[in-house]
Amino acid sequence: MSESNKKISLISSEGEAFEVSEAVAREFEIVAHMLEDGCSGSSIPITTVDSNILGKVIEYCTKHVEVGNVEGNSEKAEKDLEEFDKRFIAVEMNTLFSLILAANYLNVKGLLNIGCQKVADTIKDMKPEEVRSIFNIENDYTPAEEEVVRKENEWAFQP
Amino acid sequence: MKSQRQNDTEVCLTITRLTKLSKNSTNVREDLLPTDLLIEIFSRFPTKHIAKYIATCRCVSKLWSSIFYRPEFTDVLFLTKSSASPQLLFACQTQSELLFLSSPQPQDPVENPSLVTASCLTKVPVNFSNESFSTINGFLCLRYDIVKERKSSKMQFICNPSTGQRLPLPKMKTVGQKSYFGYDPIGKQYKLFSMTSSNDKYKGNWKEYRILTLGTQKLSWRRKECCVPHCPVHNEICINGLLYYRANGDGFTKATMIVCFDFRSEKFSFMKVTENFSRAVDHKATLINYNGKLGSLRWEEPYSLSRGTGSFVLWVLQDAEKHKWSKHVYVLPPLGIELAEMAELYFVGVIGTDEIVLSLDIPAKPFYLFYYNIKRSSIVRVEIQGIQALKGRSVRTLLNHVENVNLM
Repeated sequence: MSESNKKISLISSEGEAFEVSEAVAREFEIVAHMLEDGCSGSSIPITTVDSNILGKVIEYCTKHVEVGNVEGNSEKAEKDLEEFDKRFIAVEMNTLFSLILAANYLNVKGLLNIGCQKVADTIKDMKPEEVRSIFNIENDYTPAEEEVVRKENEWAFQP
Repeated sequence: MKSQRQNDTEVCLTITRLTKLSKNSTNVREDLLPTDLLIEIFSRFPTKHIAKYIATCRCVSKLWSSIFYRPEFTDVLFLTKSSASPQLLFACQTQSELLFLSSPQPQDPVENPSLVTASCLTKVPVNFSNESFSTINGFLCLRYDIVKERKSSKMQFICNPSTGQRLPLPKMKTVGQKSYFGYDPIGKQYKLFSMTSSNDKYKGNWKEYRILTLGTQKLSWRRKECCVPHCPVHNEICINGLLYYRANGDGFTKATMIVCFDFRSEKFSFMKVTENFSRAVDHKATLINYNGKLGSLRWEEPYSLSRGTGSFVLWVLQDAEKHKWSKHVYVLPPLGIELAEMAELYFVGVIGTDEIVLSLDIPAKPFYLFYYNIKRSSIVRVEIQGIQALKGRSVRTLLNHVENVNLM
């Protein structure tokens, strides 16, 4: 029991400390592995994630740990969590990309999953130009090449 | 406090910097998501219509397009994902087109009747000869007749109904051609094995055997010698790179042998048809893939479904060297619907080891598949929505179809 009350500080790229319970910190698999490897420290630098995003990831993990601890009434809890995830991921694309990068780096599987799913659902019905714009991708096809690739895949643009 | 943090920093240096991220999150756009994360995203496209989403993404940029050719996407993620949720594929011949539709493939349905909806994948603007075709890793080999200046010739192409891609195959000059499409799962190569009657098709002189390896720059047929001249009869089945077909010496009498052609080694082996299992492979039997083994389904005579009864035999080749087959007889329970007078029930194939799927040669309204579970001896009617509206003259059903986004 005392284990779960232990506090750990996660330090963002700006040096800001976020104090969380060990259970929440363990949701970051990268942290969980460090703790298992005998890393006894109480503050852990997360040098690639800024305060804004780290705060959000902690919010996500805290909620999931809380719901995981509640016994009984699991159906309602699951539904609440689904709602929470839905709201949590309803952010603008830049933030979503940052969350995915952070979730990938920190190895928070649930967040990585809903983040990638959200992007997939967003871009699936877009035109190539729209996808380029949200990913800020430069079109590296020459006009001739683009014509070939368009022709090859033109069946997909037909209604 | 500060020194404590520094200590921890030293101890915890195991965290390594994987992705360099700009501190200013508004600049993230310029740090494109790394390829492994793009793969994560693309692999989460809904399975339905996935080929369409991927086709769009191919047009975004060269980098994005290249991702879909990476084996970790096409084979590992995609093919394994879609193999895990096989589809039913329907080929529906209308007046002028062959339409392909797919639907989820019910596994072990218990609710009777069950319902699934088929949606259109692609259409091919030709009329097809009434030949069989099978689906291999999502690809089909189709043949159709072209009539030019009163001369009819056969054209063949490989078709991927998910991507709509059609790859024409080089023509063979000879008449009376029969082709089989197969895949070598170890060498990962698609091949076409073809037999032609070199001189007179009425004498059934099937003596030329040729092979075409797909995926090569220039497609060309190679001659293959076979020490036992033979003519294929009836339908075939391809199981894990091994093609099984029934054959005889002249092309007219009943099957006297089962030929097994290995798409990897390109070698033939032969199994003589003995009296014991001649009924398992005669013209009334349907060859099936029974959990990786050669199997056969055949109605027991007299077959009279109109009275609501019918029994059939399931044969499974247990030992090819010793010609050992297992044999089980099953009695089909009533279907639960009125059949058209002339309609006959035929075997589509098997899903897993327990579900035998049957269909009607004259499409009923609505269009049904019948799942017979041999363990439970139960029958479940599966209504396929979306097919009837097409008013197809004939509907062919293919089981265990895998959506494949690879281009040939």
